[in-house]
Amino acid sequence: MKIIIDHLTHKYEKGTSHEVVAFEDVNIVIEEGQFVCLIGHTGCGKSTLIQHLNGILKPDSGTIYYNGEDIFEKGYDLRSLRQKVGLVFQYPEHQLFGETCFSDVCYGPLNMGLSKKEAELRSYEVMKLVGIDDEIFYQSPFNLSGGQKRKVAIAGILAMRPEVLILDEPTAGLDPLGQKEIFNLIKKIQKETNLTIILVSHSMEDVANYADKIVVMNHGHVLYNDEPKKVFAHYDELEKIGLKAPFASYLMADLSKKGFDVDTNITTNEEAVSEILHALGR
Amino acid sequence: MSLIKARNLIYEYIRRDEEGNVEGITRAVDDVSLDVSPGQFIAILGHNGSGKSTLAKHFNALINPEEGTLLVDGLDAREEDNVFDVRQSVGMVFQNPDNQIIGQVVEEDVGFGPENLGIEHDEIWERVISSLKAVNMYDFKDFSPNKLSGGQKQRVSIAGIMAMRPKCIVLDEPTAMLDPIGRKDVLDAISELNKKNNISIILITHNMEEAVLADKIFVMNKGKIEMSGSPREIFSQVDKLRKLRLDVPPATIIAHMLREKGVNIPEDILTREELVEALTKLNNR
Repeated sequence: MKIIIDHLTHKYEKGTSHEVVAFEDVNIVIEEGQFVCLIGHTGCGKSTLIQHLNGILKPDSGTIYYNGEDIFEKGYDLRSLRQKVGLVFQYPEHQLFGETCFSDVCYGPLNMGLSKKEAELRSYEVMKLVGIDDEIFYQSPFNLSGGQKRKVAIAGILAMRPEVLILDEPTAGLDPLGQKEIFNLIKKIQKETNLTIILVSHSMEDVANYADKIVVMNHGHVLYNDEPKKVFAHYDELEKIGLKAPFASYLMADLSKKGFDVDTNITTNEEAVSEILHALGR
Repeated sequence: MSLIKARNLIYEYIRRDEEGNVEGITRAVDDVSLDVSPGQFIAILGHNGSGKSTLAKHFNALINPEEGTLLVDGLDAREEDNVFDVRQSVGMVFQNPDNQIIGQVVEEDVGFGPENLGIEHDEIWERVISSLKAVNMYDFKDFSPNKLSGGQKQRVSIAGIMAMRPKCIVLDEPTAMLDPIGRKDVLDAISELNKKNNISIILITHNMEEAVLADKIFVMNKGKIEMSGSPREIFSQVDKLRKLRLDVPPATIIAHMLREKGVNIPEDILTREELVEALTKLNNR
């Protein structure tokens, strides 16, 4: 499984006087099992881009190859693609509608045409995977906390056994521990099931902690596409486009100016602590 | 005199089944007392479901307490006759900017509030212009709101509240949906209103760096105020905050981790500047 985004361009209201370029000539290769984070200022085209990956939106030019096949070619089975590429929208808890958490999670697999037994089996499995307690199974999803609701929504997508999981700002509005829990959960799912993760986020700290690769978008173009350390080394440029680097990067830059012998390319708090300890000679 | 004076507030959500029988009661606000003085910057922290937003909705009479008293600018917020005045003194900004902008053009949106208050035409324009300038959005006055970024929309929302000349603005996670620079712009606008116009701010947030800007922090848990104090007093209690599903600013975390490794560094560091200074002192010894 490999996704190749090839010279993809999308315009809103094409051919009218209101034409707006959402993104232009985007080229990205995503390998199987990778954890890719997509960052960029609001309105840079991230959300529009990810909605192409399972064919919800169609491009104006260029295409996407999934497993070597052109998904926008006539006759391509988009229905089965949408099962393989699961998309968790922003505030996915707004899409919960089941009477119980369990029936909500079962909806996807049942809709795929699986038997009730198979659907329930899968649902049970993924609800365990995302860490939902048995006692919540038959409660209404509307009585849960924000973080729990979001886990149920993610379980609903996982129950379809996708190969790729796309999440659009999965931690927005959650408390700090809730944010950490969701990120740890996604990382765990990636490791245990070798799922490919594509995640949109505004939290630079979290992106630095979890991503294998970061794609930075600006005004509809890909600006950087690299591992976190290399991307965040450009923090001056990132600030110009509405982003910033993680706290640890700035701290290292400040300390380096004050004569500390520290590596200015680090991005996480843990790395910062070990650099400081080293520089203090401990 | 306090601008907001809350004593022993209690608010409960009652769940009912299809026949209307009570299924369960959740006490969202449980015996909360607090004061907000004019010009004070308050931050309210707490995990999802801790009662922050429910509490905040009391301050401009969107909901009324079941028990306890709440005075807003000297008026009893529970009195039906006072609701109009209470809402004029305390304005509210919500998380999603798209849910609170109604005008077709930025200046029209900002003018909606004062127009509703029955303010005279010339005065409305004056207020629209000064409010947009206060949040640094005057250059966008002729724009359609849907051409703006999230941070810009949020600042327009704040200008819309400003134009009603409130004494206090309550902001419920105003930056949750914004990118880093959008966040910074909104926070700069809030701080400016607080300092220059002496407007009280009540900021509900999950972002610990934002809470550092406040004069006083209240931490909520299970509907009660669990901790209160200055940012320095609150954030020096790393372990306690973590138990409440919260966190501390990154500078404080790193200082905490260094202390655990035996580095003699103050517990109450809040900002990057303070951390760099403390480390420089250590290094020069």
